[in-house]
Amino acid sequence: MAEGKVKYEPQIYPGKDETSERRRKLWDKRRKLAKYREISDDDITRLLGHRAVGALYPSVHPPLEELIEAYDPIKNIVVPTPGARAGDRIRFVQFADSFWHPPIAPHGRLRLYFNRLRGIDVVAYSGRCILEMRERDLEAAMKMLLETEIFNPARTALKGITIHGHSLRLDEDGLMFDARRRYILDKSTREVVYIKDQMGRVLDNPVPVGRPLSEEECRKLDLAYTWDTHPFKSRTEVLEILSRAAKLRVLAGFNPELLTEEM
Amino acid sequence: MEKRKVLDERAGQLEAREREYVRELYALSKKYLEVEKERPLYSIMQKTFGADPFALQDSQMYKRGGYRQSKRKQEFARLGRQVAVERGLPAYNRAVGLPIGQRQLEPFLISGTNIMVEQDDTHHLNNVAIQQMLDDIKRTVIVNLDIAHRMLTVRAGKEVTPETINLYLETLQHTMCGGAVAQEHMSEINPLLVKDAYAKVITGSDEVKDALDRRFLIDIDQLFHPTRAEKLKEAIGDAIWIVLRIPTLAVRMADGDEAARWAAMQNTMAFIASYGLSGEHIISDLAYSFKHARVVRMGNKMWYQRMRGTNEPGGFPDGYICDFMQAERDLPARRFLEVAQEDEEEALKYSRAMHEGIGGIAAVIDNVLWLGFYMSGGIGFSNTVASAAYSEVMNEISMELIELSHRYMQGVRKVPLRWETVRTMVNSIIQYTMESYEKFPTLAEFHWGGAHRVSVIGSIAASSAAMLTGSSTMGLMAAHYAIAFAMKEGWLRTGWAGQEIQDHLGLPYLCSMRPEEGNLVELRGLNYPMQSFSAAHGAIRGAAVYAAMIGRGSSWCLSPVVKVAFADPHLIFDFKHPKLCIAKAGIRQFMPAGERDPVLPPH
Amino acid sequence: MGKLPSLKEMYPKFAEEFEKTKPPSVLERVTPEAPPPPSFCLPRPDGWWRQPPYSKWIQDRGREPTAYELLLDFIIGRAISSPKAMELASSAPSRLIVYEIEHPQRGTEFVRMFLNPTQVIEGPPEEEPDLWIKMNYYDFVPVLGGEISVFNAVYEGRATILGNTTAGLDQYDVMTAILGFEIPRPRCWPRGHP
Repeated sequence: MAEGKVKYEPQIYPGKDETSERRRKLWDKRRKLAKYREISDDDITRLLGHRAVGALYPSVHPPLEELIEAYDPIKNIVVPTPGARAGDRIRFVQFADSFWHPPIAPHGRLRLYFNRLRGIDVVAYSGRCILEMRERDLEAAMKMLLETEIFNPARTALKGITIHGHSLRLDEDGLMFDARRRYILDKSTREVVYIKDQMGRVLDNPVPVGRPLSEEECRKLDLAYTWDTHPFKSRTEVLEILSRAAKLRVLAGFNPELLTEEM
Repeated sequence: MEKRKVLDERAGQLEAREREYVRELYALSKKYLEVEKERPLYSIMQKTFGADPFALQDSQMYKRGGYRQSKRKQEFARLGRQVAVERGLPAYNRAVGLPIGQRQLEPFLISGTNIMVEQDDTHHLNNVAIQQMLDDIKRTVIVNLDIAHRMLTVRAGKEVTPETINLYLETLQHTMCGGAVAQEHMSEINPLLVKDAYAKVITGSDEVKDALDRRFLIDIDQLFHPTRAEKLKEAIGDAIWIVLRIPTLAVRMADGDEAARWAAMQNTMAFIASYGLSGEHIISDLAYSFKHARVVRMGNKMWYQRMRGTNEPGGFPDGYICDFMQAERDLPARRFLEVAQEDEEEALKYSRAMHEGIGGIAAVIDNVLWLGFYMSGGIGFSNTVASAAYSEVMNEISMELIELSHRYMQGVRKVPLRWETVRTMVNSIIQYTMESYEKFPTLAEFHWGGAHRVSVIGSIAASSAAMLTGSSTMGLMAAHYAIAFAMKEGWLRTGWAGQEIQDHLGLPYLCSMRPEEGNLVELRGLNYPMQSFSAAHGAIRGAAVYAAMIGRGSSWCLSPVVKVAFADPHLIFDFKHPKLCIAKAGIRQFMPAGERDPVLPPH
Repeated sequence: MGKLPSLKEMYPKFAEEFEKTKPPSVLERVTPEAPPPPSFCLPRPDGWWRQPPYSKWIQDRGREPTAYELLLDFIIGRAISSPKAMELASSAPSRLIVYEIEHPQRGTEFVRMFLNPTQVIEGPPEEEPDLWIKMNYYDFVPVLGGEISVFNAVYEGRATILGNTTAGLDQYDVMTAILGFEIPRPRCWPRGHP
């Protein structure tokens, strides 16, 4: 090895097809996500439903500057996020992603959050992914989550409660099922409009979140391998990596030197 | 150099063409939906949803009248009001919570039957067959009699002959029903309350069998295919085992641990009466042998926090759970690979038997009873996961496994236990299953949660690998690969968050045989540390163990006596046709045991 | 009272005798080892390609053909002369299949094969192939010679395949057609399925 450090270039994801390429793009924090729509800060606050628009951020502890804490070297290394510095509450947003050509899927979200956001806690389920952050950090992150290519108003939804429905058929307007009917298609503007916030409480003013993406756009932005876009069974490189990972974990217990030809 | 140059040029052209091909290829997809119409899945989905199975949009969504679209829910709403009025306290009330029934509340067909049931009918409190299945397991204890007989002859100088054994067996039926034999003025039990209590004998010896009264015998020759009977008899040998079934009412009032107590007490009393024993020292030894020595209980005790006795679901080893299953007992004991190579139709019978067992028993014990009831208290989510296993979907997909193995595995002598070999079939079959979900929006709606799909895809992978290799560990590895790697990377979604625990943390321990880390799959159980949290995995482990047995051509998974004990025709629940029993209970045609009617006021 | 003899004296061959009392294990039927390779999959003597039936379609280059030459000769010498095979190969979707052939002396050789239009090219692939087949040279020879099916080698653990099995079935169809048989495609992935 030559002197000096080898520059680490994360490879992010294997595969040469478009879906793999999209995965690489979404999970690489060096690359910018394409912006599709504009949603105002106040509307985001309304959708989240954690505080009234214009209200102060409730805090759970005094600002960090005012706190006298025991010495901890980690606190000098990690720069606190604005929310943490101000002592905000930890609040959440939960997105459900449809099974039908979604621009992002729960585990995709999880990896995107880990790569692009700080100060987070996430859990991915089959149809949804919850994200917890300090309140003002969350509102800032929502800009990215709602305005860019990872949000399709028809097939991605804010669902704080009653998230069921990701793999159900779409409704007659092509929207993902929601038992609480938080969003509807405004027939005159052809835009998806939230009439309730993420917890299903009726909003004073409906919040438009943009037009649903067309079927072609959905397919183009699809993050899952599907049989009619990029079939999973033809992803030789991905399958090779998966197979190797399975072998390493199961047969070698994370010790690659234990693997033999016979396995 | 020249050659290299030519090759490079060619490679350049090729690269362009390669890219072009990859893009062009999948424009074909829609053409093949026509082919999919020939699949049984198409008609199943059509029947279930009453709509085009390929339609991505449901035009009737939100317009079906809410919960009123379901007859059962209408009934519940009415009865809830009735209860509220009667007790002066609100009860089940559809006016609170979310409005149910915005989507289609589709009934479903239980595989192997013509019975359509509603989702609510498979809840374990609504479905008496599910209750009886658990009760029948909980009330079973198997005891070896050889020790007792030896003790009687050597220590007490008694003679044990066929006549004395038959007398003892007749006495035992009386004592098992709570009858007194040695003392006056004992409280006895109304026989109608305990009509399901009895004891029967298992032996592998034809000579012993001939000497015994046939009524008291679980006849291996009669109940199993001759090839299976032969192996079972060889394994059981000359030993005499007695299967004791205590009344359903007793395990319902106490718990599974009651079975061993009741059985030991009543068995001892039967010995005292039939062999004329006194309060001598031999009684304590007999009691010891009936309580501890060579006693087979259906489940172990669980650790302290779970706080359950023996014979309770969390302690059932997976090997026993698969020995409860009887669906394969009429089929010849042959290696699945041989059968599949020879005859597709015959192989289909094995596969159907396997899904009958894992869908009707393993999925129910794990998802409905252990996770849905014992662990989480009965919210009803995991019941819906089990219902994914009741349906015909698994059989439909297994048909393709059989077709692939019949056509492309001709001449294969043995599939070695190598991951690189097994993954070929596993990849093919799970990719096919995943594609089925993508092609049929109705199927995805039917299996609406990740745990449902985890259950189906995991079981399919586990059974494919285990049937071909005969190894349950390989089956489990294939299942974990299917969920934690293939399904997760393909769709970027698995089941609910709990699945991460088993499928990721559990992987390095999968082949470990060290205590507290891993074990043979047969010896694991529902309460196994890495697997005890999440719906869907019971069916998977069941599939791995049961399919491995079918793959090896064995006659039992873990215990030949447990296998034979559950072939008993006197059982209330039919372990050979579990899905039929559950379906019958769904339409209220199944009569369980343990009812208190004989001692209740007229009602 | 005399001294009791030790167990070792009483049963000098205890371990051996004890072993004999055990019934044969059911695990014997599922030993992890792969079955031994059939005789026609073992390394062949020099000049095997000059012997019939191989001499009918392999061009004699004065040395053992490389994997690329073998596949090329197979396509030229056998596939093109079979109208059925040509029909199947031209009706399949475009596929890129990569063979990674391990020769005991020459090491790894890569051959790429396109289905529809059929073409055989030497060297590792530039694009992600539909199917990757890895096998021993002397397994590859009997597969092309029609002595054994490629799936037999795969499922007995002597070869591995990865990727789109449908592409494998397409190619298998072509190969079986060359040999004069036709195997109906499974219902799940009928001919032409992407």
